[in-house]
Amino acid sequence: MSPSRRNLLGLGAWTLLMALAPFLLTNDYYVSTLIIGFFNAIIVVGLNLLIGYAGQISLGHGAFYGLGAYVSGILAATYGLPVEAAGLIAIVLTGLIAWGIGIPTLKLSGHYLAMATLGFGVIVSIVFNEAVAFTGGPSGLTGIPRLALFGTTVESDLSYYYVTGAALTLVMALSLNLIQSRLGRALRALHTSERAAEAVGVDIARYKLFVFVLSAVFAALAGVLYAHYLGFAAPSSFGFKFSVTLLVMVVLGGMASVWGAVAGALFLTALPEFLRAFEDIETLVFGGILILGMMFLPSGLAGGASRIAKAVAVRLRRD
Amino acid sequence: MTSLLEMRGVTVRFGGVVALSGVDLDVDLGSITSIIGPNGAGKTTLLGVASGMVQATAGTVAFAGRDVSAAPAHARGAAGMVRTFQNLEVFSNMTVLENVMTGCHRHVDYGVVDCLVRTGRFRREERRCRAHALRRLDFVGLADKAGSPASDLPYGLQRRMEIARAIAADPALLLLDEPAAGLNTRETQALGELITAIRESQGVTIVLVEHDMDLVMRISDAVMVLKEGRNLAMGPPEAVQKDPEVIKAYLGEDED
Repeated sequence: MSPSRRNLLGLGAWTLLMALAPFLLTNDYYVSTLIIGFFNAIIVVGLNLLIGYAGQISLGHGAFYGLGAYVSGILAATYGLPVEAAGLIAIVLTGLIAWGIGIPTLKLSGHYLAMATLGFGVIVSIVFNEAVAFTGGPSGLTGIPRLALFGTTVESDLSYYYVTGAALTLVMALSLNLIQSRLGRALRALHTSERAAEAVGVDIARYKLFVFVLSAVFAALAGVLYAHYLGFAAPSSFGFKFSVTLLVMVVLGGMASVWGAVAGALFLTALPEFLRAFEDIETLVFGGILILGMMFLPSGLAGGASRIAKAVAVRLRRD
Repeated sequence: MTSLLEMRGVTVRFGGVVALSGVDLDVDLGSITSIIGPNGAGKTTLLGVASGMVQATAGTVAFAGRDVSAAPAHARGAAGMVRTFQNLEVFSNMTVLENVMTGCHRHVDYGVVDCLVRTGRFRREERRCRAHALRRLDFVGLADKAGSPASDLPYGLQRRMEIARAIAADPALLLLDEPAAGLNTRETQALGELITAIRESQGVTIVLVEHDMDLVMRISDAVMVLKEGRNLAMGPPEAVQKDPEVIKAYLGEDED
């Protein structure tokens, strides 16, 4: 089966599952958990393009998420712009900021790039906290209107679920298309050997910048959806801790896999909800699961799933 | 004859070490030109300067009549000067076919939007790129390995795959950095035939940095000898072999 055919089948199965999931859930609360999971998945799919495919690192993607949320929130709540326009401006502006940040920082690699993006995240966090006149400071920005598309407000949680699910599916489809292309090959090439990539004419600086901006744009899209869902944005949601959580989602889900990114994001969003029962030792159990996951699934949920699928296929052929 | 590659007065200093001093090199269009010399003579450094991966302290590089001294490595690759590496640089996160398709980078023609939404142009170009890569794999005798992960190939075949990746770019000039390193006698023999075939069937001009004298003398049109970062001799293989300076450089230093 060709990769594009496999992607199409996978996306079809995913869309079906996504569409039916709310009817299989007994509790409305789970729908809202899934919506948050979808926000995270949109960011993590983009971040996985940057980390898993292109081999770069970012410890500041929480900031791009926050920029999307705050810019759109402020434009809509404070300046009364229509939500569609506010969201679009927020995404474009965040992309431009990523472009500006990316030019100097992507000259760095490894630990240095991690430090630079970390620094960027911290600076943005400080701005969210201190620019009280615009952002509402540490107590947050309130009164952000609900998402509206073509003049219709996305009122119920169920309809919001479908809008977010559609956005995630679009991001997944675009990413899958990207990977199986000249651009995707260039990104994967510069991951393993920058010299060999250059030797066949790949402008590595340009491709690094491209994937950095694209991942920031995806994060901003998630941020816009977030702000107009909760109606509220606070700096703590977009800080360093969240950037690290995103990184954990990428790694646990599986490097260089769009499906793994979605699985990692949904799993780690839902997990704390299920761990509530452990009360005092919740964080301990959470950490334990991460350690076990990395010990037994070194290539993440996606790697584990494909290993099981292969083992089953071998067993079936033998019978 | 016209020169495809012209290097003039190339000097490279790494800190206090002079790797190359005032080296000239002319590569005739359509030729196989070899660069030989004792270890540490600066052969790979010279290839690095040609491909733009090593910064020259002084000197110029002209490719196809254009001064490319200031052009970055990727621009030279995109212009049709493609190199391979002494230590394999395989894209280990891809299949063999994808590695070679990456080689097509410079002549696959579509933009970001085409690939994000899979336009007709995207599909056409991808089909062409895939077919082209498969032809190149077939040319080096790896067609049956197209779907394997590149890192699964044995060493000798990875070398072949690198060559397939380089010629998938349809280069005008191919720079091969010790392609016979780590190959046995039979594999080296086959490599010689492959290099000649690349020149014959695709009209590619080739620069070969190589230690294996049999290979060099068998397939080269011209041989350039470097010693301690300087030009020692340049000419047809028979003449260079008889050059007393060259004999002294090799016998005097390596034969102990």
